[in-house]
Amino acid sequence: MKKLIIALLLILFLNPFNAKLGAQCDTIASICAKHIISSFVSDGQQYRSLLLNSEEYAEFKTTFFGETTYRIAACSGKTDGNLIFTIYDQDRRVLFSNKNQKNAPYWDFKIKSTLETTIEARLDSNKNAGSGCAVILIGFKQK
Amino acid sequence: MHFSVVANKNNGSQQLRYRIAEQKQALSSILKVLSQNNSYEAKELSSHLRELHKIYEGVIFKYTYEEPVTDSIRKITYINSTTEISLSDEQLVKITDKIEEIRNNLVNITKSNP
Repeated sequence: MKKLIIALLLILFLNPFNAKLGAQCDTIASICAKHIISSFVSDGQQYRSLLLNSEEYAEFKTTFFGETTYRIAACSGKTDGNLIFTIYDQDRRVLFSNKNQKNAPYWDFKIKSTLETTIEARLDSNKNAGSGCAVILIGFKQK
Repeated sequence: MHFSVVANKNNGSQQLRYRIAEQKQALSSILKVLSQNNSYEAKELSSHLRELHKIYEGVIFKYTYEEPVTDSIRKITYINSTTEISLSDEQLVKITDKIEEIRNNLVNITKSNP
């Protein structure tokens, strides 16, 4: 049993497909990072998810603190505008979607009061025929 | 959290009080992350943080939705929803004491295991 687990782990980690996906996500994350300009401080996290098609979506839960301005950058692929991101409040009301802003690769949010949100990311079916790595980056600045 | 409670003790303000209260949400997230870690240290820390979380359970948040305003030219959206927080003086004292206790534990562990 132990040997089987080790074999499965080796397959998982040494699988060239997984390695390729990881490298693909790394590249996308570094391209996306250019949108978090120096006036914003990165929250230090990279929210990543492999999406197999435009039906699939990834959700990231985050807290936005009051009196803070956030920048959210959303990327998939090597060009801008492939990823649709939507921000919902705790009652699942839509606060923003970049779909209404020509799939803008980044957007700023001035937060009046602390709130819990869910960021949903999905590939744009008009731009992606297949799968892709979705990357969301968040930067912030006070006031 | 420790910085905020010490700052509040030395020079309390409504803003600091609000910042301390809103850590309730972050605390819940930390507990979720720690629950996936089975190490002794994580379990120990989780147990202390759960006690802190119990105190925070009495802190009430009232969320009120307001229509966001989007400025497409400046690529900015103003999220105008508000969250009112109810935190009593007694709860604040309990939170402060618990955070100091957790911090002292961590510092003592670090000192005894350099």
